[in-house]
Amino acid sequence: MTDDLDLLRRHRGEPEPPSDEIRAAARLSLERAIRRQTLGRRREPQGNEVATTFARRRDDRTCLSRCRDCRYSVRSLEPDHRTRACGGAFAPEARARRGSSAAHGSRPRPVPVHDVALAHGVGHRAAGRRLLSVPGSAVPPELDRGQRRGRVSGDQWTRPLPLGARIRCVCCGPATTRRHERHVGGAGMPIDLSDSTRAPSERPGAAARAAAHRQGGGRAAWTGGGIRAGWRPVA
Amino acid sequence: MRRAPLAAGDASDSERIAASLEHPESFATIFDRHYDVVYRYLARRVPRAYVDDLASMTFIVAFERRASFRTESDSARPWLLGIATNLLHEHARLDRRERGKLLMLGAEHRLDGHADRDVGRGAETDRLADALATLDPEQRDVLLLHAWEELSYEEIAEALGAPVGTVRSRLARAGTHLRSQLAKARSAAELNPCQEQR
Repeated sequence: MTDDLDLLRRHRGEPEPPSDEIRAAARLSLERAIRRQTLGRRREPQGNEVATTFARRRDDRTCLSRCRDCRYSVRSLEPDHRTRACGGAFAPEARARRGSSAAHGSRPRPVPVHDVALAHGVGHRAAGRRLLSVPGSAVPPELDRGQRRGRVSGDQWTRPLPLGARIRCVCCGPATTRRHERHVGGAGMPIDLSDSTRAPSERPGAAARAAAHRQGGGRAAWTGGGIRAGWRPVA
Repeated sequence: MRRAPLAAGDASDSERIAASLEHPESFATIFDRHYDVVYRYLARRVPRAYVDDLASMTFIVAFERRASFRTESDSARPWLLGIATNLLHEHARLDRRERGKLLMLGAEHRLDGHADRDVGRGAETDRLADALATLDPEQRDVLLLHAWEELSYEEIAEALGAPVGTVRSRLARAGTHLRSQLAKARSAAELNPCQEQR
């Protein structure tokens, strides 16, 4: 038996150690598992935190919840999306396989909230609330819960507004201030200046804006509260 | 009252795992300590394409099952290798098409550590790989954990969740089987030396 073991040991071979990238990806997976468990211990959210609950329930079934797990790190997210998780919905090859927009260019590409979060330098929840889909957008059906009317939850997929879309900030009105530039900047969204000549009460979205201001501090109630502005498509 | 998490360097594996029940983030230390060992073990047993995922999955499964870790064991290494072994078999069951590949034990690595890749040595390696492939999976697990990972009988028993006596008997049977297979292969090679130099 000793001879056999010696023989086996001699032929054991020494595989290459894992690369730093592989090790980091594995550690990230573990950290996400740890974070999921930590999140699971929290109390049930209430009120305007419902959107977060919704996202957590979809955990492991969509890319978006993975993005939420990864928080602000897109780079660290990428290997996971390519190799496992939800089948790599954001990976180019997955899009091509599904025949969706990125492959054909026929439909607008759904953009996860984390892209916008990075562009705006805000958290995912805030980014989701800031974004609105526009009529005809490619929001996945399971997530299409009223956002076409200008409502958005913290976890919904949406897309950048198309070039030339007329948008406004529901909080501060016409898109003529630096505030708009700050909100829009980096996300590739256009700024609509066309309404600057109309009186505030005549502009589309005036009712929502007024309601938002009635909430105090410019907070828009329809966004779920807690933020100061949101984007509203102009039909 | 919640205890403060232990510092990374001053606690045994069992203490870290026990602490992770209350502070899940403590489990990351177990990863840092043992990832390389688990990775190399899997790399010796499955083709490289599967190693990354299986190694990563090992620690996620370990984290989820950490409550079942026996705190009397100081090192988590046998426990982790046992999880890795189970995942390896589970993977093979899920995808039977890959079974053939999994049986090519260490095929991609078996010559890696040997500079003298002469024909005779390569042939011996092939014979050994073939003999290992004919082993019963349970016997193979015991044999490789003992020979390659240098686990004791008790540690193998802990890793595989089997009694120590069973480990001993599996190891003995594996040795007998391996010996007879190698003897057969060597005698066949002596009878037909041309085939040996393929």
